Amino acid sequence: MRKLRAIKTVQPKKPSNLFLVEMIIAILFFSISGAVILNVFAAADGKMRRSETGDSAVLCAQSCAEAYSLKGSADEMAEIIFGNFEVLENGSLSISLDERCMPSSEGAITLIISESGEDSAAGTLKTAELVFIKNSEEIGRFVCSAYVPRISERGGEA
Amino acid sequence: MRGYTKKFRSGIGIGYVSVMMIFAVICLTILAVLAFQAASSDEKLSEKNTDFTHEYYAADTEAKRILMDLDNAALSASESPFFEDSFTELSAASGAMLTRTAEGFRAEYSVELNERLSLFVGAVFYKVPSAHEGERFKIVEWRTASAAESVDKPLNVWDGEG
Repeated sequence: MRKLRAIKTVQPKKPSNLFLVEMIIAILFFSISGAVILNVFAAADGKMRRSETGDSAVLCAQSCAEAYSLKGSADEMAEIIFGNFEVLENGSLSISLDERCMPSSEGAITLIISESGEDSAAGTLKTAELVFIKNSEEIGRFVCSAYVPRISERGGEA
Repeated sequence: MRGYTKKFRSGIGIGYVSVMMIFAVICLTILAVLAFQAASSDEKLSEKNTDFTHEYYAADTEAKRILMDLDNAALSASESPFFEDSFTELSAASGAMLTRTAEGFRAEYSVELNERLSLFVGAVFYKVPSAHEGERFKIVEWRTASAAESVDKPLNVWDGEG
């Protein structure tokens, strides 16, 4: 009789409860760690986009600087590099660019070109400041220059 | 009687889910860290590139300012009867090294770009600009090189032999 009683008691409920608790803890831990890892991925993606935009701005600035050094005029430089540009009230030039700093009608980046000069008897040292703006935030500022000599009338061609 | 030895078995064993979950999290963590590391390295390289560009064009502007000073000296010297002496005196402040040539003077100077590099400039200033379409000078050298390279070059002067 005692042996028959011992055989009757078979209750597998504890393993099932333990499994459920384990599943809940695993899902909770996975979701928290997944959120943290997704944040890290998003931060990495943001860094990559910023550095890509910065590199594009540097390359664009270098092209503008070389063209400015050759032509000595911001208008001519913008005409060569970008084609279209807008003249602001203060005389600066405004150009709309896309993420890769290519001319675009509705670009995310705005390039503002301001020009100044230092006159002398022999010629003018002209300086152009290039400011790249994205979402009202400055992403790059470059200064380039060009020396435009004044050809002497006595020397030859005026 | 036989002992009741049948054991209850569930479809998935306890602990298996935890092990798989930990493995997946470890893999994702490693991937995320590597991606962040690559992005950080790329950003640092981009910053170095930007800094070098700033340094180069700052040196470029300074070199053009010195060129303007030399051009002013050439313009003033062209109005005096003794171009060589006048140009040598007026261009002394610029620090350029002058070498006489058949056409006038060759001026050479350097502007420090950073710790390792300098911008070397060479220009020929004409004694008679009218013989060169009114141009007072022509740039013959505009290059970056190691800062250790000196502008001072030995003159090829006849030493009386041969």
